[in-house]
Amino acid sequence: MSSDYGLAGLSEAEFELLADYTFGALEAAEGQRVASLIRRDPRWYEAHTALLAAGDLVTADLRSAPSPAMPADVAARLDAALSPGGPSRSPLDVPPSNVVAFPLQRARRRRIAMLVTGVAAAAVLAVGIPVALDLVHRAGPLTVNGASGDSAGSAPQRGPGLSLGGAPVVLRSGTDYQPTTLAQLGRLQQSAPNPPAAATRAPSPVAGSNQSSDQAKSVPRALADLVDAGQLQACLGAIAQAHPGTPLVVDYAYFRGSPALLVLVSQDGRESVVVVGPSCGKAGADEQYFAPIG
Amino acid sequence: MTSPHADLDDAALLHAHVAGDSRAFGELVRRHRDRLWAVAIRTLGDREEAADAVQDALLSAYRSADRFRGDAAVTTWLHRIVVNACLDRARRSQARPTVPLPEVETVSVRMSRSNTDPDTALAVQAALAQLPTDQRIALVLLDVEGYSVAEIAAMLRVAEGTVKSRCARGRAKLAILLGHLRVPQGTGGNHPGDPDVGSPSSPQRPIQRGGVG
Repeated sequence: MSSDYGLAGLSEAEFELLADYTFGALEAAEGQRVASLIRRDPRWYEAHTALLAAGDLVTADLRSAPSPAMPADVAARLDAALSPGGPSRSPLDVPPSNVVAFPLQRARRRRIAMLVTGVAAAAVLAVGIPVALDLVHRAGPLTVNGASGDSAGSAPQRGPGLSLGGAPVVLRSGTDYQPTTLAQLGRLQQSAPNPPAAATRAPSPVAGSNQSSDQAKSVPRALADLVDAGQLQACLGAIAQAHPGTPLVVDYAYFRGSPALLVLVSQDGRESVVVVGPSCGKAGADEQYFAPIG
Repeated sequence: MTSPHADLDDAALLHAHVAGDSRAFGELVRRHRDRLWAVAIRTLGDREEAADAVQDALLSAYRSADRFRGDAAVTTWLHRIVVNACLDRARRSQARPTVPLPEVETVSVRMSRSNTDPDTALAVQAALAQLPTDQRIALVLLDVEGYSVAEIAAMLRVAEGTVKSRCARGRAKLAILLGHLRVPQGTGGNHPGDPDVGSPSSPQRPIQRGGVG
């Protein structure tokens, strides 16, 4: 929408203020100020009158719109998932991830929709459900640190993040998180750039390396096993046993100087960060740290 | 032959599920899935996203049913979980390079009223899709699903004033998108001081609850 709504010349901010007043969302003091504007300014008066009438029509439209029925295929899928013998409640069973399976075709459509022709190959790991490896898409080589070992001493590089359908965003930030900086993970997820653009404007390479090996340095060697989709899947499943919720972000990074996988989990609108070690998914979650962040 | 669960209310079904009844939760879902679907598809505007959100939410509810404290209706509890699942997905969508336009043509619509205009339904859906997620969710819950401001505030864990503002601004934006907002041409005579005009201290229109005129 343009900044000028053309509604008697009100700006967007004025329009929103008027909307708050007209539909009863303003506190008394602010409401009196707007009421005064309406009395004194013909623009405000005309806009308020028009908005009052229009609001009734909008409400009528919303209430009269027919309620869409759940499509039969969605209902069937739901019935299957919830049928006897479906989801397990036993803590001993590995539960299906809260990132639910979606058809392979849709995953492929989303991957195609997100790739731009001519973009340099970005090493991206897409984590989807189920474990089927054909859901793991590698747009380019994803390697771990070379012979020089973990890159804890080199400048952390933020690899591109890519989210496919309902899968978590996967990052390789190389950030050395501390308990007081875990909230960054939530902000990283919100500011994840367009993967193709990110691939072409990668941060400055580590000194002495060439552009093509940047990606190779962004996953700590100790976390190499977790690059495998199946292992990561098992890890997320282990995390879900202790911390049910939807994984939003997975970041191959460090925690207090040690290689760690950080997982941003959301449940009922609240977010937490689970920090796990290299053995996650092999025998439990190898949980190192847990903190709610919102 | 009637289902053995037919006579159980929602709370009883949930209790039966927690107690180990393998079919109780399915019955609960079948009762309410259309309404939960409506919230999801109107909120997300994307069929597959909505399907995933509803399934995510109901699996979460399936597993956490023993934590339901009965301080709200079961349907409110289910709606809360679905709404938050939709919010999670909408938040992820904001990080993607493209946001798909709502596939309104694929939405399965049941015409519950013989005089319902399908074009209006599509226009409403398309207009809702253009609202910010927070405003869209608040308006759908208030004006479409009929929840009160207090219930929505509890569901979204925000202040009631925040819900009111989101609904107010969303409704105003929809008024423009749906072509209902027209400002009368200023004639100089329509002025708060004009004796022909009604009281200048126009009362605030309260946020309307669903079903209340």
